[in-house]
Amino acid sequence: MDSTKKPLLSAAVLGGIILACALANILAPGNAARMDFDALLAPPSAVYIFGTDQLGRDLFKMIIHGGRVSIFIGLLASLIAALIAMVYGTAAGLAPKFIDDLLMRFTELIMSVPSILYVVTIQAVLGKPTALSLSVVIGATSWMSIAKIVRAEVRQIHSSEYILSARLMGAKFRYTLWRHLLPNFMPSIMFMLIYNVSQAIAAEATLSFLGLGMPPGSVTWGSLMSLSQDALLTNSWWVIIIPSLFLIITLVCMTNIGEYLRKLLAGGKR
Amino acid sequence: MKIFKQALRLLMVPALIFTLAACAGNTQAQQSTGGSPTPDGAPAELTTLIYGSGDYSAINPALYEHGEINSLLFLGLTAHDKDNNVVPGLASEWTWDSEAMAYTFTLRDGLTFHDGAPLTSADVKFTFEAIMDEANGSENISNYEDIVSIDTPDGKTVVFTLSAPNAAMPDYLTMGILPKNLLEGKDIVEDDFNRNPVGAGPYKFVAWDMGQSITMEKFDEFCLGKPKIDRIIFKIVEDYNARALQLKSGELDLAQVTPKDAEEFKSKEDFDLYAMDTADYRGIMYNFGNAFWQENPGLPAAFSYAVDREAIVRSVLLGQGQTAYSPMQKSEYSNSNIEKYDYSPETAKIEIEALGWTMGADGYYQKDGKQLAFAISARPSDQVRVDMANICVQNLQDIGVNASVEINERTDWSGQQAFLVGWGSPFDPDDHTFKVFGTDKSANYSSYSNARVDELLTQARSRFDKAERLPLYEEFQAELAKDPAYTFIAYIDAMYVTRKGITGITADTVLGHHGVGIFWNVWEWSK
Amino acid sequence: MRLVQMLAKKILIFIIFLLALSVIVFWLARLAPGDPLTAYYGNAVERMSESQRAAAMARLSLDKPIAVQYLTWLRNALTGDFGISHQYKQNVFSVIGKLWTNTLLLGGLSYMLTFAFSILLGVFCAAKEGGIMDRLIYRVGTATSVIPSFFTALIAILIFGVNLKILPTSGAYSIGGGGFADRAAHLVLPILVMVLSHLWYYAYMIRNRVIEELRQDYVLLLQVKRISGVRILLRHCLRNALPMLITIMAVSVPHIIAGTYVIETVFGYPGIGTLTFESARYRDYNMLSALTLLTGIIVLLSNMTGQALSELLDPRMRHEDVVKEGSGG
Repeated sequence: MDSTKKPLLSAAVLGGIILACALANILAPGNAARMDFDALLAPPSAVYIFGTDQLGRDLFKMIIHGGRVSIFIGLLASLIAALIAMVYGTAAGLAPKFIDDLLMRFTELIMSVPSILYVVTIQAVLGKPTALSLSVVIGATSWMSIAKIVRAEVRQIHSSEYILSARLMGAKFRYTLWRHLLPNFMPSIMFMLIYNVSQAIAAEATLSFLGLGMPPGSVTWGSLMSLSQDALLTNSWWVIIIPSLFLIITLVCMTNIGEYLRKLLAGGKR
Repeated sequence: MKIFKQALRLLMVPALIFTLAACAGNTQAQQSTGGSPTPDGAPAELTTLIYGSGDYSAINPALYEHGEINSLLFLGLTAHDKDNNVVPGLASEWTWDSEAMAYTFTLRDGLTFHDGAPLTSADVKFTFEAIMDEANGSENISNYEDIVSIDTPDGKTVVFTLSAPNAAMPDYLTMGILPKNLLEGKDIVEDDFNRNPVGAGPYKFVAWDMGQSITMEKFDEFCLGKPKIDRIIFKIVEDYNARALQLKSGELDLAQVTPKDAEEFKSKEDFDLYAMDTADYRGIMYNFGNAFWQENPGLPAAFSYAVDREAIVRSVLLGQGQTAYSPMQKSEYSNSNIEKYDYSPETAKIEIEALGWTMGADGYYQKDGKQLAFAISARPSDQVRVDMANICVQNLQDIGVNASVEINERTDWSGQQAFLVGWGSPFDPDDHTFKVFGTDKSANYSSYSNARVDELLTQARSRFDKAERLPLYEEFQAELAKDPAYTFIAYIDAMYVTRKGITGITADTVLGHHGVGIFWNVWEWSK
Repeated sequence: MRLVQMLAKKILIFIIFLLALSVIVFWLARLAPGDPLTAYYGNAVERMSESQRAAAMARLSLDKPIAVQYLTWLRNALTGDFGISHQYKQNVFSVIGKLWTNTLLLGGLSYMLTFAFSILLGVFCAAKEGGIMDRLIYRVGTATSVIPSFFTALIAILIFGVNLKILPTSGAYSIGGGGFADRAAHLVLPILVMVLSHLWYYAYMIRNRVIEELRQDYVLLLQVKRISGVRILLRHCLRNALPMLITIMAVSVPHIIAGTYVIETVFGYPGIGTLTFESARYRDYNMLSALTLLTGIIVLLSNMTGQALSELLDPRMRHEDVVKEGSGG
């Protein structure tokens, strides 16, 4: 793959989608779940660009409003996961054996508890699942794998000579993390991070599918996927294909951009 | 190089399995549907019906209320015919003694359970005493509250002494009878019996593959007739969409599907589609125990004008249903000369304003500084109810009521303001009426209380002649319409799809809650 | 002597880990508000009067303080009695016993196949870096890896089950129990979906790592020495990428185990995944505790193994003190 090729198409498409979602209230104002009983399951037309679903809801409106929520959850969750993972992983990678073991065992502890339990518990405690609580839940259950990789990479780099010399010169933990370690393990985990965003968005969709996502009645890409599933046997192709298409395109664009960034950062590696 | 070879070797194993599976899958899938020989290769042509069912964790009609499978495995003292009239089941006849306030049931001769043990009055006594024992936590206990004692003067006679006359009792005695000698002295909730049930129904239990299927075989000594289909298998397919897919692929012979999926089968030649009428209705239940309704009486009637029932039937049910105005619309006791609250947003607004509310600046009604707002609770597991609740909310929002939907896994009966309720019974009009609308009755979750309604229902259930009961129930419905406990929304049809060639399903029978009851005459079905 | 010490230390960690896990799960499950009686009594709970509820709670020993409940559970667990599943009203292990083989087959085979194919694919793409195949596979792979697995599953059911009618779409085996081939047939679609969802993630990681290795100086040296490309690729580059690979494989075990439940749900495949999901959702405490301990053991074992293996293969991964000990003698 040509490493210098900028992912212009991906950036443009993704930018377009994000912009549309951000401007949802202007482009398609009003309640996203508004039902029009005179236009049940209407195919795409001038009035309803993407058609309507069985209950007369405007698919275009639902996609851009839903996108806001889903993308927000994806980004926030990923951010939370990344932050926790980087600090945790580096700490473990640099720490003496005893603490390192303890930290690793602790992640395994958390990983062993079925994530469903976390989701159910947090949601039950908070009462109603919100975009914020879902982000926290998804973020808090997905940082572990990244942390492990960070730790592994840090370990490998840790014994390199220039780290040793930096420490000899009296560099503190934060300095080492920021200046030396971060740029080095960043490329390796960059892919994981971007992938994490798409995973987080997909996680929201899966949680909705399982009935654990945003409350029924709220519009997200996850709930739209469930709509698609219900319509699988019917002939209303616009309900089946369009929402999933948006989801896939968004995620693919994100991945492409992430890839590009990874290559960019890898240029100055080691 | 070594690694390469090892990798290849590693790949061989799963690849082999993969190819084997793909080849075998071809032949196996064709075999796993009806008409196939038994696994041990017996050449006999066994007719098999595979029904797409929900999952069970335990089978026991005495403890659990819902369970389509109970009608195959068990039989009660009485049964229902195709018009939902009470007919003899295990009992050949019964009499009512109004002085002793007791029903006397006489069992048929030669009754046996699936395992050959004789079925006697002792088993009947045992079954109902188990239900009435609070420690067992039976879901059915409320139907039998009137029973004071059960006596068995001899092996074929059972006497139920009641605390008050109850014409509906024979209807409630369709409860499947459990074998005393298998459960006596055991913990009825945890016993293994619930995984190996033995009853006296048309089909006997053979095997339960947990999470996958429950297999049953015909019981030749069934007292109401020898079943024709040899085997019936309840295949566990929880998801409604999956059921439709499996009907198409041939893995299921019969299943209940959503109206949307039912459309698929309308024009198909290999399938028969039954759009069955049911007595199952949905509505907005108002919790009168909540302060909001106590402080603002009269609102439910006003709200009832605001709901566009016809649109709900069209969109959520795809036309497979009827708008509802009464809890017994499908029965012979239905009264259509009552206030139906036909959709009229203007009337709703007038009514609301007549109660003292004025339109506020935010677009919602308000009175004494408080906004007209309330929440309808619904469980997330039933999409139809959620959709209905959402439409009701939209209707109400449009006229200036700040209604909203609250999704809760657990229903807070005492705290909630309103609930998307659903039930109904195709049987005796007393069923799901007396205990639901009567003051402080066991299934009255709305704290609804209307003295005249109580009077009418109590009288109606103690009369035994239809001519006497009819006017009482008609007046009851009129009273209920004047002082609504619910805003009735719609009755839901049950869509059943079967493979062509299966006969015996009575298309005109009115089914019950969740479309249960289609197997009422399963021993007469053939394939 | 040192080996025994190390082993003893590992076993001690193991036990402490499991204890900590059991405490966490016990506490977490009961933390969530909600009615603990529903798992056992179902809808009947709503109709219970206060006295009935109190009696039921006492019966199920749910009325004592959490610490007491935990100690009771612990005492029983040490004798092998993990209690009754409130939902199934049977001994917890008899329920698990019926289902764990299903998940083992599904998860285990998916795991092996995913990694086998991803290594092949990753190495292949690394070798053809920049070429048409590489780019094409990249596009297809990215697209398949982001589609949520339940959607892929539904499409698979539609294509193979409904339209082509060649594969069963639910269950672990046909009614009445099937032979080897029957089981395999029921596994094809679920495994296909599982592998497809995870394949590209790992393949891509491997591809990049191998490419990184290819850029190293020693490769140039080997090329000068006229060693064949394939040999360089496999014997040297792949080998150097192994530590990362092993770590990833170890880390993925819980990930794949957790991922089975979505597939199990869509395919109606009865297994531990759906069991875990149900027990968390419906507060079947005993079942949840037992299952979590089971998962915990697997996670711990796989991680420990992964860590040990990678340290073995790449000395840089070891801790300095161990290195010092070794050299000090």
